[in-house]
Amino acid sequence: MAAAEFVMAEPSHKRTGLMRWLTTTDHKEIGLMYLWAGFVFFILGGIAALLMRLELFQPGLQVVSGETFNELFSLHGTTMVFLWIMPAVAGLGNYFVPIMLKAKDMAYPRVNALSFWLIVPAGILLYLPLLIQGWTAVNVTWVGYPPLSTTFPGVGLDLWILALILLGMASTLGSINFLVTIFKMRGPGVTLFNMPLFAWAQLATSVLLVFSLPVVTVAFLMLLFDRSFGTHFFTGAGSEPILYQHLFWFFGHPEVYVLILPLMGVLNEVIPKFSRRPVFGYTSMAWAMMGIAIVGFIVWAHHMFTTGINPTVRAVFMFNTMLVGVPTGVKVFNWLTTMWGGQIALKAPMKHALGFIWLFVIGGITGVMLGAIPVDYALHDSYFVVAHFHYTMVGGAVFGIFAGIYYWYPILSNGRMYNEKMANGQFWLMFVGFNLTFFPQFLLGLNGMPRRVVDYDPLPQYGNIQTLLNQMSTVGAFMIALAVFVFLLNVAVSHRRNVRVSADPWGGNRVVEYQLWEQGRVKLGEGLIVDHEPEPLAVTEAKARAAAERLEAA
Amino acid sequence: MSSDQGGDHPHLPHGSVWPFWLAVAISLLGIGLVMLGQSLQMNDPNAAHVASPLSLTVLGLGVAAVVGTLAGWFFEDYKWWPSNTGTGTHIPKAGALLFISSEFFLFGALFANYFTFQHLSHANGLGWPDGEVELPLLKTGFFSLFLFASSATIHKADNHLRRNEHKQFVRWWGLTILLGLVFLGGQVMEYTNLIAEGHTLGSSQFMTAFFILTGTHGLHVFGGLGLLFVMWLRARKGQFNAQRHAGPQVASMYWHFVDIVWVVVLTVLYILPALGFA
Ligand code: HEM
Ligand SMILES: [Cu+2]
Repeated sequence: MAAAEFVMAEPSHKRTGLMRWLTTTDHKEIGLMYLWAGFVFFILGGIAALLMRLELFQPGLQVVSGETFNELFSLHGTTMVFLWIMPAVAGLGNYFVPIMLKAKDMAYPRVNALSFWLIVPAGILLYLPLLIQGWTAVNVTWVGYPPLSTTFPGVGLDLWILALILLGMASTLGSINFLVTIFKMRGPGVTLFNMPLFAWAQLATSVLLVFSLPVVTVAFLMLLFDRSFGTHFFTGAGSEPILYQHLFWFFGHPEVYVLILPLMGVLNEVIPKFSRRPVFGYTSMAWAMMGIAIVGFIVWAHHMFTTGINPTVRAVFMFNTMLVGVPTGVKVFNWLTTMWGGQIALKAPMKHALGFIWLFVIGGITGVMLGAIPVDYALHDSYFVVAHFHYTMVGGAVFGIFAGIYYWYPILSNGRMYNEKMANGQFWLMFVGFNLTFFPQFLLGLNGMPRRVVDYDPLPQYGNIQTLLNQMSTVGAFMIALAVFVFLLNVAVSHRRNVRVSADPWGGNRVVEYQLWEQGRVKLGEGLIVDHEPEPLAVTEAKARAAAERLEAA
Repeated sequence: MSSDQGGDHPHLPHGSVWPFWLAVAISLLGIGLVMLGQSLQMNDPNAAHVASPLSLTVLGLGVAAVVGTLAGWFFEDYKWWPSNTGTGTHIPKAGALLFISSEFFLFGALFANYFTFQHLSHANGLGWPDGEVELPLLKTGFFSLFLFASSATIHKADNHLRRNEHKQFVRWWGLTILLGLVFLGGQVMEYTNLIAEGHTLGSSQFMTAFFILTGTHGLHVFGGLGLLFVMWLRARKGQFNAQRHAGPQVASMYWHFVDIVWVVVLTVLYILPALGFA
């Protein structure tokens, strides 16, 4: 087809101030807004977590009531999954995927903006009930099982459902946007099998979302109908509450991979860069991510082993669950092999990447343990599960987000550089704090402490071991909070001090996003120019070395 | 590809106020729905189950806001067309294909619900449908013919467009819209009759599954008609030709999809039970 020449509209922004941000369709600016919004919700979800940890510092009720506790963990889960990790990941993806593909922008710039703007009202609707006397915020956990979620009265729960539907729409549109961008917008010389692996990660993630979100959206709508319009999907005669769990986890399990795959993508960038080696097994990495995505669709019932579903079905899902460990293992081994014999530069991004591998392996192995039906019978709905998924979602995803932000910091902040010492302090605080918070939770769970309960049995016959473990966990949680504070302080300080770099500060392999950025082609509020001859490699490398030396000296 | 990349100066996609307002409008619509649900007080058996005027107002405003902001959005497409503003002609089709495959899963979940209800009803010895209901197979079948015909007419319109036969294109496209409207009118009639017979969303599990499936499909027909209408307006302004037909192409792909889903709905909900397979 002889396509007419399509042009983008403006050389740079015509609007300024607030209107600029309200009307922007620049993928970089939208990416930044995602990151900012993500951090706002990260803080809100974190406050909820700290309140819970304070309450659990001692057995009995001290800080909050049981009702409030229910709201806290439900808000915490919903927020961290849908309003922190998802937006942060969407932010990094938005910013870097088009650059890595040398694309002009995302395929649908306005739809891209719509995706972002949908998450803002969703966040407001979720938290609104806290501000209104007599309203109850979501208190039925982040998964919202009926019959509780269909029968608990109050508009707060309806608003939670509405928020989730809005977020689902946002992600569906966003994923379609990523897929079309990756398949149809690649610039000169960029092919599917030479594009950076971060783009592959976004591809796999988007496939997961496009096919799983419609299903859970139906489940949420059915909840709303049961609550409001007199239907009996999940409660009442002839209804099937387990159907909700199937529909939810058909999305829910892919969702957990949605949270980790993009950050695996970040590691695919960071680890070769800081090992001064090319990535080991590009193709196997790409296929491993697609493998995780595909197998991820057929394991959902491992969240439902204890519901009394058909034993044969259960066994099949156990098998599939074990299977998902294989591509996951491929990725870990590829990272290790990439580092093997490399010159490892232990900067903040790499430290977080190493932290990711270490913690995620623990999370993954405990996941395989839970995938064994007999083990799950003992540990389902205990703190062991809580520890498992925090090792994957915080130890994995959140460490990955920090790795990505540090790695791309100069590009994201218009040439400013963060302070490595502070970043180092942040990493160790977080790494130690994380393990202190969540390793005891494995033991708490093995000792029989159920999740989502405001009080616990201290087990006096064993020297109040549960109290001690809970107290370690609470102390650790505050260390994580301090680490996040140090990170934000680092951002603020770097903004004030204005230490600037103009080239890739990391040395090592040349990567496209830094190359384009050094050439002044990646500027906030300006489009990417992609039809230039690239700068000769020797020139950019010299620049990079000089920048790295300047940074060492500083 | 390289001809797609524009000239020497930096390029940025057009800024737009509509994404922001559309998000606000969709939220307002959702809030209206939640308010309506609250005011009906379905969980209280003694309540009157009457919608409050306020909730209906908010819901109405929400619908109007969504339609209005979408109009603004599409008007930008119209405005930007002469200057070739956009990311390329090959882009819309890929997105539409993905959107449609996502929608298949949406209907898949609804059918999963239907079959679950059916299975449970048999297990409980109630048979299926689990209440007294006679779906008007002949009448609905008759109106379905209009929808099926509209798939043919839109295909014909498409062919004319590709041969640059503008007048015929607009005419067949307009006919498609009329056929779609007749089908939708048939749906409205059927709903009115069923409600008059005392069937409601919650009167039996069959009616719930029925209304949710056909209602979702009906909304898709409605949305599809909106898209067809926008394309028709733009076509009348002479915006499409054999080289640039992404918009109509996307609309017609979507329309075929809506049609295919109806074939399945009609088969499962009307024809199979009438043949004794239920
Ligand atoms: C090797 C990979 C993994 C396996 C085999 C696995 C297995 C499991 C199993 C069997 C459960 C159910 C436990 C129960 O409730 O009884 C579970 C729960 C969970 N997993 Fe994993 N998992 C894996 C990786 C991950 C990853 C990568 C994430 C997220 C990034 C994750 C997040 C979760 C979450 C959030 C839950 C709890 C859901 C809830 O009940 O609230 N898992 N996992
Ligand atoms: Cu799972």
